[in-house]
Amino acid sequence: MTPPIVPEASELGTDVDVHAGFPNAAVDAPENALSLDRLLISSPHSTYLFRIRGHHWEHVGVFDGDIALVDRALTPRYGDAIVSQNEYGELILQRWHEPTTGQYWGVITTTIHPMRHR
Amino acid sequence: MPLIVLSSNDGCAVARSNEAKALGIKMGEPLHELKRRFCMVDGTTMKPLTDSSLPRVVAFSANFELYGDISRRVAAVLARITPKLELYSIDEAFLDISKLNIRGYERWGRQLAAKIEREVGVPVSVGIAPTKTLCKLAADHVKHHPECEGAYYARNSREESLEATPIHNIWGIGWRLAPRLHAEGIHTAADLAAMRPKHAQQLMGILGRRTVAELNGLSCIPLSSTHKPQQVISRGRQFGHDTSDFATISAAVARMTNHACHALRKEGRLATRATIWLMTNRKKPNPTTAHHDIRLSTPIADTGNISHQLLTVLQQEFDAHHEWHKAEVTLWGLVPATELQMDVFNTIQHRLYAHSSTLMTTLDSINHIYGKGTLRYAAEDLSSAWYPRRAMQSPGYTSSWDDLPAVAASTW
Repeated sequence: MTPPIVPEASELGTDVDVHAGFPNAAVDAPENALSLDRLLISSPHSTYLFRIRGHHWEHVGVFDGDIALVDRALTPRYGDAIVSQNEYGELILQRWHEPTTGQYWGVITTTIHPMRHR
Repeated sequence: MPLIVLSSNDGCAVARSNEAKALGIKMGEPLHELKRRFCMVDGTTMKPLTDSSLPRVVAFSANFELYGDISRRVAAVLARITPKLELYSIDEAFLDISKLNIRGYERWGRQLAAKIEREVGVPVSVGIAPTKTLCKLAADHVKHHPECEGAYYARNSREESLEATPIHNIWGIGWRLAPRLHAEGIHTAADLAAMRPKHAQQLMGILGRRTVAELNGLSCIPLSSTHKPQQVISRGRQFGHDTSDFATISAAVARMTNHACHALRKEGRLATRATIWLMTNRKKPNPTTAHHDIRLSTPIADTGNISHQLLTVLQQEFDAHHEWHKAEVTLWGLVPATELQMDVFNTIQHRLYAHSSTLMTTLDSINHIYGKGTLRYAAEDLSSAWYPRRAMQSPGYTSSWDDLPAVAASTW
């Protein structure tokens, strides 16, 4: 990911002289910035990121190359998408169908699909 | 297959699976010796390193980024239980649970172990006891007794499961002390705990007396806060290959100085003295060390300034007749930044300091947002030949976007 060359001055935490025509209240409010981390990850210690490989879930909008956020702290509900292991020890996507005594690695809470590729 | 993880620079085995232990691989056994007894297999490719019929052992280079990430996740779980938490090392922590309303320590411990294994994904051992020394013994007991299901509570070392513990397995009894104790007929935890305090102090000093008291349930070692203000800050590395090339070594010194200065700034302190220390390979003939001390012109924490002064001295005094093996940079004579003694009349010095401080803050902020090393001094890039070896490096599963673990969308 290529970051912008110059970060917002307010993020740097230095004393910033804003030579504006009149006072800029926006400079003082970094804490309210919308954070994707906070939106998408409710339990950081139990959330892991995976890369989706394969095309068999495209009909539900999960594509090869997408990122999946997987939370190990959740208990699967009927219809959830989960990560589990097949008989070869490989990690696979599965739908959780109850009642079942299957194992699961974690529950997929969100997938991220880029609309524009670099 | 038996599996091991190698130390920094692929030097020796620092983690061994049970199968590897069963083959007789010792903790800290050097890779070159292992290669003589086993056919080593590169864990990242599963290809053997040599063509041999010796028993196979899979090896990985250490993946510190991954271990650090897992360690932080476990610490996050522990921090929500109590703020009285000491992160002792990357894989051990002490919690003071004395004031928590816990009924049934072992059941609580088993639940904690299960929660961590479920939510973070790593198995842990929970040892519960009145003292830190006993806690470590209890946790070790759990590690070797799966029937504990993750937790064990020890009241003192006279418990049947702990009394026969050999003394070298006790926290605080090192390899130097153990023979002395064996000579006096002290072989087990029970023997040690039964020592009279004066005798313990005579034989092992005050720290030994403390260990004996702890084994008997008397807590002598308080939980220390995670942050200890440092007297010196050192950063050092062993090179990937022994070298006498000045450019390579100065790049390494520049990087180490960068890390040390960053740590110094995080502590809110300034350095007045700095030292570079070089060492040749002890295993080769004529082991030599060299060190160069400097007195910094003013107390500072400026990476550019300190690097410049250190590299200048290094250039003047560098001995290229030796193949250097490792280097270390130490910043010492530390003073708090707030107590800066400044010549009141020296306004130029004041302005320079203020400029440096702003520059360093900006540098640290950018590297914090965009990642360590985003912005760095050119001296670090003179050479990468000194980077430690990590020939069998597993992917950065939790540290690199290109290395995310894959999950197959193979069937609907």
